[in-house]
Amino acid sequence: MSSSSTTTTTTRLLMLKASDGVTFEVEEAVATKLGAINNMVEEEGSEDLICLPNVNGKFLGMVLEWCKKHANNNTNSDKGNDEVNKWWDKEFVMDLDQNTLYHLLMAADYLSGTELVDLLTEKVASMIRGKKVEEIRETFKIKSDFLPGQEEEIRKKNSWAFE
Amino acid sequence: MEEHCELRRWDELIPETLALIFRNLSLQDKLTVIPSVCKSWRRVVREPYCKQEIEIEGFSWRWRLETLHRLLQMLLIRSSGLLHTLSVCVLHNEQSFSLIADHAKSLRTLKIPESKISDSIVEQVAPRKISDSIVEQVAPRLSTLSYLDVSHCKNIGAPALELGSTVSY
Repeated sequence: MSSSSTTTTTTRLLMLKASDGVTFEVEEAVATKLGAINNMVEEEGSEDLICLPNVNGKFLGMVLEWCKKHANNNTNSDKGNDEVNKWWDKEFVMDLDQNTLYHLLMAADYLSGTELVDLLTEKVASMIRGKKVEEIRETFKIKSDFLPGQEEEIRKKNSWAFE
Repeated sequence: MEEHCELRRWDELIPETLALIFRNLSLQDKLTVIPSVCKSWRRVVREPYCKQEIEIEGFSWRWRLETLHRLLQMLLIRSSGLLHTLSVCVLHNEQSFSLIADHAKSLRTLKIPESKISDSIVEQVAPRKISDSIVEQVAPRLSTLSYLDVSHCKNIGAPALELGSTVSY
């Protein structure tokens, strides 16, 4: 137990600014979990305000909330933390509406939050799994852009492997 | 809320992100369901970067030999040499093994456990079993491999496993 992110003695704070001007003060150790921020800090130093023009405050806040939770859970190196993280992740994605899920995924991807991207892409996959084509279109509000005969042709194309 | 929050076009999500979603789906979903949803999903799922990991482990036993070979062929060609992980439980013939080697430019992990064939099948469809000689023959083409699982392949012996110093078993 050598480190603790809850004490302020050695923790540096970064200021992140979202596209809508909302700012967040975050511990460097938490923010640099995001690959994009880590790169910016390494390249430009962490003295200045970090502007993130492609993420708005709502979704940046959610990404940072996830990072903080994981950072806190991981400060104790108990093996039970994996379970805690899993449980917390499950709760985190459970009630996300589709709109939030979409923008959160874009934000996590832009910020290179690999683990969060994995979590969110799995959530989307779980909404696809076991559904028929029409059900998927309905779920994601996608309109078919195939020509009438084309769709049937595509459906048949690879079905030989699973008959 | 800003206007852009109203728009969530799942068919217009960037291809790389869609590919990350599809990565979590079964091979069957990727081949028979996703391509029929819309043109952009179809395009993404056909991209070589969607074929970097192929897992037909677990249920490959249910395929007939020709079907499995044909499926492998299709997937390997589409991977355009980007394939880095391949799992096929119960590989039936040396032709399939050789096919894998032909497309193994980037292959790092190869799992072909339980790849054995019974004598009767050997006589019917393949002149030889997946045996030492064929592994020796293709080993130079598997130079990027760092993980090889040939557990329970009863016809593969020690000489075939001396593929190179980097391969772990």
